[in-house]
Amino acid sequence: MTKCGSNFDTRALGNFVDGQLGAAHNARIIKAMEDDPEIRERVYQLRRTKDLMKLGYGDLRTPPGNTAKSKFRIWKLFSTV
Amino acid sequence: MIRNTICAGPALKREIADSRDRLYRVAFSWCNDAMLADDLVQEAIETGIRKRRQLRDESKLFPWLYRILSNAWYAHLRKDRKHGLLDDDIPSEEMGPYSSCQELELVTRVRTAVASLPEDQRQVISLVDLGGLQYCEVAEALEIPIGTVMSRLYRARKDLLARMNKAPLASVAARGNIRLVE
Repeated sequence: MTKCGSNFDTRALGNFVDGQLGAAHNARIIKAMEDDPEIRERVYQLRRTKDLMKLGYGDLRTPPGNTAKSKFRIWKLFSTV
Repeated sequence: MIRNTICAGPALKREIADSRDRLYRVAFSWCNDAMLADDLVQEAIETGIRKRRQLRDESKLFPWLYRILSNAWYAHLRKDRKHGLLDDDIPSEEMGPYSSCQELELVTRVRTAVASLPEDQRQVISLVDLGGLQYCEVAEALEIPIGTVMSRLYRARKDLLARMNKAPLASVAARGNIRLVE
């Protein structure tokens, strides 16, 4: 695992970016980000991947009309509610 | 459960309708095909309704639906071995309302980079970043250990950044597959 800074590996920083850590761990990483520009940069890069994913696909909406091949049109059920 | 709650009122109808787009974004990132993604999502919802009694905890609706979606995707891959070529495919024309050519080009680069990720990595990063699932929910949806989720996510992000950093913009544009949708 790639080491970045004194105590945090990239996986731990990924957990931080994804909101998977508790308050105490978050606080430690935030403090480390304040002290260590390398950690800041790695967190930035991880957040960048999340932003890129949202940019790449976030605006997609299910196409209107009957594009799907399924015989059972579940959306007709929705429209009748 | 789903059908009962659909009939229970417009609030849940809205929730299911919202989940349709969430499922669609994830499905699209897996297959890069608008029609196929729509089909997979419909199949997932249909299966969800049919097997609704298997869902014991309603708070796990989304992981459960994503698991069904994942099963549908793998069933499709098994049926259509030609999808082994997926990694070389050009991202679909299904783009979206982008305000500038630069933004559109960036979107194309992202989709090209994501499409070139290994299947297992693509699934995990999509479920976390587009599906909004927690790691434990991804583990549940894909029936893999949570450590595997983290490893795949770590590799996916590393690879995505590497591909984004080296993807030449001109070659993407030269594919002639960019179309603005108003």
